[in-house]
Amino acid sequence: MKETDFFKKLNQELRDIPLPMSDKLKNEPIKTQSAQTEKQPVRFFRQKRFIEFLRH
Amino acid sequence: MDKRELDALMASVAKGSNAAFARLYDEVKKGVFAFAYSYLHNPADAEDIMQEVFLSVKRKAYLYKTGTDVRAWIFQITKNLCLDELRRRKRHPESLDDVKEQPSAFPEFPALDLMTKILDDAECEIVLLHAVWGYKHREIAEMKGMPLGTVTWKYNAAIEKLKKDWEENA
Repeated sequence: MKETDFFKKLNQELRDIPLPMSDKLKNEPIKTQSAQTEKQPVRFFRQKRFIEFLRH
Repeated sequence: MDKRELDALMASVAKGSNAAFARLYDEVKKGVFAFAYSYLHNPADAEDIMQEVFLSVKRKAYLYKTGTDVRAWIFQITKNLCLDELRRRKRHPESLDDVKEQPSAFPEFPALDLMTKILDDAECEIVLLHAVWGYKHREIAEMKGMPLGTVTWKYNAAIEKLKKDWEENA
């Protein structure tokens, strides 16, 4: 047996395995850079409210 | 698909493209599955880990830096999740027996089974990285922080074991 024959067999086996995406994976949103940036003002206002709370 | 194409694909995923994610999934899923299987020795568990890996890719897409190696990034996520799963099994050994008793819905894969049975973890990892993930020995050495000679030696030893066993059982 040549190593390339073994690798062909191995890759063929892996190609034959049905590996569909689960519903959970399909429905999971992608976290993008812009989505993370949009969250920042919320955090800022939360911090601001907390500082105001400490002052009172 | 080469390193540059995968990088461009992942850059699109990081911008929110589900179509790019689907292409990335198709391109990398068999490597993730094979690697998870080599750790967990169970196709159902390997598929669960594979789904977790891609969930993690979606959740961490914003952290991806363009120009880095996507395959290495996904490979590292896979390895971490497999090690977490093995640690969890050590803490709850009874759950492993439950899984073993379930009939498998997967077809048989003699080549992958042979690899996971006769090779040690390091040999199996090197052969999979080369044969399924498409890495060169030099790249594997860099990724694993090993001398190139060690990688080549382990690879050749693994191939000899595989040849011997495969021919004996043919």
